[in-house]
Formats: sequence, structure tokens, C-alpha cells
Amino acid sequence: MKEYYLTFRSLTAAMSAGRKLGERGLRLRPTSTPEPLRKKGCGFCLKFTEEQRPVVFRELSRLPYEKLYVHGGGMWKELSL
Amino acid sequence: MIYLDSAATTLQKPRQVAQAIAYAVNHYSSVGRGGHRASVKAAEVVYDCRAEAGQLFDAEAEQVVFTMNATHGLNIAIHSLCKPGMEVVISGYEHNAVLRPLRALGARITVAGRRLFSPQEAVEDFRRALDNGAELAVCTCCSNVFGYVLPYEEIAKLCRERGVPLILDGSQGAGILPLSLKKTGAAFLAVPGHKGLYGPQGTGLLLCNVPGKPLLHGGTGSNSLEPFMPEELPDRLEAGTHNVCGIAGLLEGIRFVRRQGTEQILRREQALLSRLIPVLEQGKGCRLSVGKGQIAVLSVQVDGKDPQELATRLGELGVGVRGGLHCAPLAHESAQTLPSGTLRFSLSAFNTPKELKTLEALWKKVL
Repeated sequence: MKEYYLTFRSLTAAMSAGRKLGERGLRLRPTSTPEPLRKKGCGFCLKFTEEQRPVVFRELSRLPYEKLYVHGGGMWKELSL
Repeated sequence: MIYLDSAATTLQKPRQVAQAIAYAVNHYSSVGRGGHRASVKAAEVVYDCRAEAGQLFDAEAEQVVFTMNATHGLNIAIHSLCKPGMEVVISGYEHNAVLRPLRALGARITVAGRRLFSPQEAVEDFRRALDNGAELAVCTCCSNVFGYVLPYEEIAKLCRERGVPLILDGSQGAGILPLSLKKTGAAFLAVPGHKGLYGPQGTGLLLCNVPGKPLLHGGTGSNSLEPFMPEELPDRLEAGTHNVCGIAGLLEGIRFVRRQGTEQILRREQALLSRLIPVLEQGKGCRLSVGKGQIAVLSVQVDGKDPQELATRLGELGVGVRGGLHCAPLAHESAQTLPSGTLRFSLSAFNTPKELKTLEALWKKVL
């Protein structure tokens, strides 16, 4: 099952994105960025499912994220839309 | 106690403020320093405060930086924008929180708008200084000594038109005056949490239109391998552990202000001020500094009496006021109330007409 991750430069940015997605009915709380995605030490991300993907993708231009990744089949892949 | 020193700190707070602080001290840990419940809850209350502050001051949550007080915020702002030898124009009513950092940085300071309660003159003076090459402007929204509301919106317009960055000191205006980061276009707006926002001491906000330069360098809870402070706000200007308990209290203070409405609070305070003026005026040799649109901060001089001694005597009678220079010698220089300064009465949303009635007899006693 695929999982998606939006990474952020700060917790505030992650929370801001979480609140904006909350306006669209999604409850996503910032969590620690998984180790394979960490570039500069600790970080924060929003994780969402395939089911939640359409809503998140529609809102992407409003979100202050750094990168978007998908994790599936044991592999990590950066996505650019 | 009859507390009339809210320009220093508001003492009566909405009850939710103390409740929030008491809850926070046992339930919230550090923001962004763990994934556990106590850290997540801390992050939420801190973000909520940013969001509410953003709503109040017309800014995005990310533009809201937490500080210890307005002095801290003003130092960040001034250190961000002022270089040694820079031509800086300030109003005649600036606090030492503006004057001292500018002097420490070796700024060349022009003082504009010295005449008390003369906003048009202040605008013209600022215009002249900006046209003569001022590279930075700093202006208080309101004098902490005289309650004089400066024409900060017009001054902001002059600065925008000339591309000169402006730092606004909203210390006395926050919670009662319309202060919009967006509309003024100020580079920075610094406000304390502990005055008109009814939060606890140790809190403040710096609203930022520009990223600024960090005053403190340290941990931010993310991107720890980066050797320098982040480029982005708010983390760039927030090194170290947040005062989460204070911010929890400040959140409730801001919510109170937004529920009441800044205009409503100002009207109430000004109505009390109009009752206070005749009480103080009836003393022999009393000279009050009163002007149009003044907020509820009132300075008095009494012939032959030292303001600090009067403040002490009133304190002994259970009235809290402040006497002296109020950390604003420039304001006293401008208004010609040096060397002794003034006795200052400053009201909040929680003062009552009954208190002013009681003050009447006590005022006669000290005179």
C-alpha cells in the first residue's frame, strides 16, 4: 500500500499545511520525517494515504512543503507535480 | 489595590490566562522536540497562538515570531535593518528599547515630530527626513508616557512610497489600535504580550514582513545538520525552547481581545480616561498632558512635587502608578517634562469607575 509524505522546512510550516488540509476535511498531524527522507537531520512531514491523495494534491499549491515522496513496495521515490 | 500601571504591564488578566498557564506547565513539553503527546500538544497551542496573532495583526501565522517582550522584538528588528552610520529617522516619543539599540549600532538619528499631540507636524517632519535621505524609519504607534497616538499609518505610507523600511513599536497600541502588518507594509511590528494583549510577562510578538537577521543562534527543532539558522520564518528568529506556558497564556489574552474587539476596549478605556482627567485636574498645581484621540495613558506634573515620590506615596495608599522617565527620556525631552519626568496613570479594560471614585480622595491626600 502506498504512503505519501510531504516534507517541510519547519514544524510551523507542517502545521500550517495540516491546518489548510484540515479545512478540506483531512486530519493530518505533523510527524518526524522518516530517516531515508531526512536531508539535514531532524524534520517534520505530513503522511497521507492513497485515499487522501486527491484532496492533498488539489491543495498542493497552497501548502508550504519542501518535497513530496511516495513510499511503496519498500521503495522511496520523490514526486514532482 | 487600584492598579493604574497597565502601560507597564496589565495586572488584571482574563481568568482563562492563568488557567491556561497552569494547565500548560503540567501538560505541555517542548515544541518540535519529540513526537509524544506532550510535545504535539505544545506545538498545537503555540501554532494556535501564531494563528490568532496573525488574525489580530493581519499577518500569516508564519510571519508571527515569538519573543520575550517588545524590547526583544525591537532589537531583532533594529539589528536586522540598521547598519553603523545609517541615517535613521525616529519619532520624538521613542522608548529606550528603540534608542539604545540604535545608538549601540552607531546609527545617525534624526528625531521627527517632537511636538506633543501634533500628528500633522509629525507627518511633515517624517516626510522631510525621508526626503533628506533617511534609510530606515522607526516609529512608536503610541507614546508610553503621554498616550499620544502617532500618525503611524500615514508615516507607513510615506515609507512605502519611498521604499524605506519601517519598524513599528506597537507596545502601547496592541490590543486597542488597528495594527495591520499587511496594510502598513512595515518591515517589522513589535508588540509585547504582557500589556494590551493581557498575556503574561516573558511573552511578545514580532510580526515580520522580511526574514530579518537572527539575534540568537541555536536549536530550532528541525534541520539540525544545517550549520546556520534557517532562512525561513519563524524558525529563523526563534532559537531555543519556546516559553510554551507563556504562549498558552498569551493565546487566551489574544482571544479575549478579539472577543471584546479592539475598538470596544479602546472606547471603554477612553471613557474611563475622561472620568480620570477631572479627578486629577482638581489638585492644586496639577498639569495634565491631554490631547485628541489619546489612549488611556495620562501624564501629570504637580508643581513642587517629584513624580517618583508621588508614585511612592500613592503606592503606600494602594494605588499602583509609575513616576519618573518611564524608560523614555526622549519623550520627556520632546514634551519638555525633564528632568523629573511625570506621574503616569494608565488604564486597562479591567479598571472601573468605582476605582476612579476611590482615587479621588486618595489623590487629594497625597497632594
